[in-house]
Amino acid sequence: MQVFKVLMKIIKKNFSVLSIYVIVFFFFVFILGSAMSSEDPTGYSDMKSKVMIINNDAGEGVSDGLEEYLGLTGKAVKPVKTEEEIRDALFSASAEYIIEIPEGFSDDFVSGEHALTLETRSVAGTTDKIRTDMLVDKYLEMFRIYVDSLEVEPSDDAQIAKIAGMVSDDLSLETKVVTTTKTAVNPFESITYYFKFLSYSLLSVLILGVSTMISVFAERDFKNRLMCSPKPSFAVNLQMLLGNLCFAVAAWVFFIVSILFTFIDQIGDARTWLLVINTFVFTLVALSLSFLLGQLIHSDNARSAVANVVALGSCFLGGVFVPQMFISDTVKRIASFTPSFWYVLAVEETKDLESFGWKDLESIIGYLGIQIAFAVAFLLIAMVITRQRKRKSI
Amino acid sequence: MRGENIVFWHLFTYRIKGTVRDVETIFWTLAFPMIMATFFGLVFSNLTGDYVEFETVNIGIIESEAYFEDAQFQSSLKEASQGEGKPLFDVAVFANEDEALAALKNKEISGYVEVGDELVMNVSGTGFNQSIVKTFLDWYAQMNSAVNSIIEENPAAAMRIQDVMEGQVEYTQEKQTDMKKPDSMITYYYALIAMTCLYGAFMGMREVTFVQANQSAQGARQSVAPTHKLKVFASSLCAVTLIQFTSILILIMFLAFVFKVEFAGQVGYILLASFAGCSLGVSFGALVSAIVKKRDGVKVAIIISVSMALSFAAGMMQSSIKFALERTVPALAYLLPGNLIANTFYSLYYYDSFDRYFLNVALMFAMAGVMYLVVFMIMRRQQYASI
Repeated sequence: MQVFKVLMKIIKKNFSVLSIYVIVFFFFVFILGSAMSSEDPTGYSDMKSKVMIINNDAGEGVSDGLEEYLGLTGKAVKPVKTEEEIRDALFSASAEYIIEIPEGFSDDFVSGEHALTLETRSVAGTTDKIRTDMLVDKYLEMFRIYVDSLEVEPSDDAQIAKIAGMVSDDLSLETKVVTTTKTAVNPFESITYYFKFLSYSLLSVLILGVSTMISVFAERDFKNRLMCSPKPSFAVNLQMLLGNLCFAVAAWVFFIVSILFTFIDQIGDARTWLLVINTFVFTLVALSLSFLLGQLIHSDNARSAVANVVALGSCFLGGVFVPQMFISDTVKRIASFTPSFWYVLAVEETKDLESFGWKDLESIIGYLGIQIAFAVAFLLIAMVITRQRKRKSI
Repeated sequence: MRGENIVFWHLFTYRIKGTVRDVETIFWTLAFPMIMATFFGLVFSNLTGDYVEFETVNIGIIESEAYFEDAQFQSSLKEASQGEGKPLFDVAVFANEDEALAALKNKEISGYVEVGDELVMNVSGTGFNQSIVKTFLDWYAQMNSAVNSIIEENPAAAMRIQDVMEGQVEYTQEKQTDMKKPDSMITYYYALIAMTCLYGAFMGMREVTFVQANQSAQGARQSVAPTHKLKVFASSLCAVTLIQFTSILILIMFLAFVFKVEFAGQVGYILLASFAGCSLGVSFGALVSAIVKKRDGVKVAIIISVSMALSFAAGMMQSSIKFALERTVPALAYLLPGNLIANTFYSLYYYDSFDRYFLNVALMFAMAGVMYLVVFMIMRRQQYASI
């Protein structure tokens, strides 16, 4: 076990470096996890956008009603005056949607002319625009149906105010929703975010850490000395892998314990443990991938670049940062060649799990199996590479 | 004086040659951001602009008398499942609740609706599809209530409601200005540029190691030469800044021409911003290398961790993180180097005036200047009793 012992020494010597990686990426998991679970992108209808309403038609029924409605359905932001301030508000995202109600809008609206429109601005590529546009359309469409059906005159302020009240009442109606699952879903949802981001951190930490350790073995003299020994390369590799496994498991335990500690009330949930198993399998994949990359890269600069390309790239493609449902089918097909994709699928399936029969678990076990297949494949390639190199030069 | 200049250029050329010949480093400095940009392009291809292409939502309805009698609900559903292009819903009718429940469990449908006195939606969890169904059902119930109120108010209006409902009015309109639209997708690309600039730190770090006699053999050799320390140091930093600058420009061209990422402003401004960003990155590495008197491994770990944390703050993994940070502490937009670099490009893209742009560029140069000053203070007059 000489090689193993050397690796232990390397770990000890590089302890500061390895712990820097673990701690920094540990913070990423927590910041991302807490930010995303408080700002759930899938809880679409319940999200509130920051809306700035510049009402130049204050005191009129329709305009005031709309302002009030948008204030209820979103978070109203204090309106600003100058063009520069409006730009700054959008730039810093202190307002996500800005709507300007022109003077005389209410009268124009009730008269049925609809010559004046509301001018909106928003940040492109966000759901705030879609959602708030829809709310504005809903409110005004209903108001129009009232006004036109009842043939209200623009001067009939009392009637308009009455309609504004009725529209608000109508729009407050909600469909009754029955959740068929026995367990409450929401508290569990936030823990799944942490587990999703964990795949990124695990992958980064392992690639960076393992390649740091392996690079010692790539040193020319060291390598030549090792090759002279009667140990077969398979045994050397195995010991090296075992040593790295110790580091990987230590990092995994650290991450898992901290997450479980944060979500102590979820420990009783069997799904949590399924997630833990999933991350362990993913740790093995990450380890064998790191082992492979460690054989290939030697320069410091290259190491961090490779770690980023592989970890960040596969996590973006695999749906860690952007939900898989927003990713096009073609990209998903490409992403299926990354282990992160299957890891995330397993996390998503686990989230919605209700019972734990074979039929329920079948697909999750399948995803775990695919991840293990990845691990084996990476390992085999790494072994082949080390053998080939050995033949080429001394 | 002329001889001194020759020394500078001599060192400069050799540092360029030396760096360019490190093929692995050069390859990754160039390839890494491009590969990342390609991944971004792939993932965001579906998310560009104002809309996201949704999948048709599968929903179930339980057969009941109430459902068959409710012609209006049937026609609304039909309308929603036939619309132009991709329909909103794909409706399946189930004979009883058990069948619907089984379909829900197998994820064949996102939810099912029971039609009775009121509509009841059954789902197994929350999510995007469920929200769409709920929004649709809410609107249906709200319109029903409105129609009832109108008829109650004036029974004669009943005749007109149908016609009124068919009318279509555009209420909102995107404000047309010459201003560029703020875009959250672009944040990711600009954060990537920021990250690449910060990665110049690796080169800065190496150059400092190369001039310190107790850190490398090359440093020892250079220390015995009668050349001024500042000259040696300046020439090698200029060399790596130039290399880093070139790679940033290649990245920007790649983003602009292949992925059509918008870079507003004249070329001159983009060049200046990129140069400032590179200087900031290289000086950061030099600073770490000068302050941390440990092995290279520790320096690399610090640079990787700090640059990742700064890119993270600049919105590289999730653009909302950047906005949340800058909203909570507005000064961070100027203090965090990653945010500063990304914001410089963003302000060039977004604002017509250059106030903010120049402020950011000035800040970047100032930060780089301060870091170089610290590095120089640490390194000047260093003497070694033994190496």
